[in-house]
Amino acid sequence: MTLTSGGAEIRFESVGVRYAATERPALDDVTFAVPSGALTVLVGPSGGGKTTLLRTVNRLVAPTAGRVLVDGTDVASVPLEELRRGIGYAIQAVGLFPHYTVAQNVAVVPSLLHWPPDEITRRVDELLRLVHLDPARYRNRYPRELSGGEAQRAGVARAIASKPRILLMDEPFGAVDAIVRRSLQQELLAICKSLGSTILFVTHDVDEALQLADRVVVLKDGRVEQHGSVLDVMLRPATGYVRDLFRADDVLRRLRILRVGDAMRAGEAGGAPQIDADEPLLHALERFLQGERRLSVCTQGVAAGVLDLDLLRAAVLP
Amino acid sequence: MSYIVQNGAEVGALAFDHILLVLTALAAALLVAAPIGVAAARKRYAAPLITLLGALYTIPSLALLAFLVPYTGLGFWTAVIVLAAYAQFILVRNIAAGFAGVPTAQIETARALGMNARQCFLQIELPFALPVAIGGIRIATVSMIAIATVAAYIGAQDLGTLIFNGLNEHYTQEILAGSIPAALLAILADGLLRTVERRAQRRIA
Repeated sequence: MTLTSGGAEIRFESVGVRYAATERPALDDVTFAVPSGALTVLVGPSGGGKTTLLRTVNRLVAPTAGRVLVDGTDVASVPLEELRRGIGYAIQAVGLFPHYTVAQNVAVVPSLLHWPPDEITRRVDELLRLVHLDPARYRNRYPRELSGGEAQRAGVARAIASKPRILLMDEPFGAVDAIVRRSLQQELLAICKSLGSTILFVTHDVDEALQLADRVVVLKDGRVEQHGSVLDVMLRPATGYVRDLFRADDVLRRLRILRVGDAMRAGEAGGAPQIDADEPLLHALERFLQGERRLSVCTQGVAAGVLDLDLLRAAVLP
Repeated sequence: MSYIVQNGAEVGALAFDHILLVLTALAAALLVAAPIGVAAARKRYAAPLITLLGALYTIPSLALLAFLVPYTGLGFWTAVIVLAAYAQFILVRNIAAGFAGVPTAQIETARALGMNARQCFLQIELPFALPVAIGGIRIATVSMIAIATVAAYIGAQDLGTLIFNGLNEHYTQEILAGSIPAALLAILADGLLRTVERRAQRRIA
């Protein structure tokens, strides 16, 4: 069974948001495209416009200039509730409704969409299993009976309940303590990615988000500082701010954040030990230090390329 | 206590009338206060409105009753109007406070998930506003049970009738037969509504 109908493309065209004529605009001439099915992370200082930009997509904020297009359609032309019911939205723990059970929370959007009751029940169980909350144990619990991590899982399940083509996540893991957050964020983002939805993800936590991001957008003072791949912002920071933000000069950081897939070259490495393309380069370096000379890079078990120490060096010390 | 024992049926009937009067007044008061309270939670003119209702609240109940008699006559409905008028201040203030206190993040999430204004009001705002609103209903009900005894002076039949008769006849037993059940009613209503209030509070905790 497919969980989503595939991701939608989002295009921001000269988007501006100005709350008062006298003040600096919250967003100023923001233009970029979020490709279908990609995970794009919005980073930058607080007050830089990340959350505001996210909210122009589901029209919690209306642009005062420019427009936001989803698959070529201006979101302003879509009926408001219809638009929002098609977009998943996850925010910090406060997002769950305390007077609804976990199952009722997850079922909010399918109920608004008038799905038949038995289909909703099936869907809720399926989603709870997907985010690793045993339906038998968690369906009828209230949010106050959940740990911070469990609440986040339920929040993500609710956001993806109606198979949205777009998923907006505004620091959804901010309320979880740092130790749990790292693994939880990795796990839940991986689940969301596997659904194929286009994901816009706002975070302060640069490191963790970069580990899963396809694209990175740096917003500062309402403007796009840089928009590119993880490789771009790490190795070719467009401004001093971007370099400082990613501490891009730090070789150890590059090893931790850049992935094997970023450094490999296409080709066959017959017989060489395998490594997954999504693993950080640090893991590859470890293997080289242990004596391997070449690694065969694979994605989902299929050979995709080759990595050796020279390629690795070229990637982290360009 | 001998009066109550000997005239149990009469006291019971008057207690029933007392409850009926308060419940009717409460229903009428809520019909007016609920929309005003909800509107006051959103609009800027809430503060002066509540001050105005507060001024109404300070008029002595007996004076208000006497003032209304030429217009609305003696009896049940005049008492209903006065009780409902007194309840406005407490009800509007608490209903407005209840709705103003709904966490913004909850409303925003509800709207972002695609609830329209009506769905958001019924499914999210109402449950959040309920505990404080019920607190207002509780205080209003207890005061109405007390003020209702005064309404007997203008001919409403309730436990106050016994008190005024007792006062006229210098018959302490009859005064107690009116005031003790009235006090018990107030205590009972307070306890009952406190339970409901706590339950509503627990839902949103």
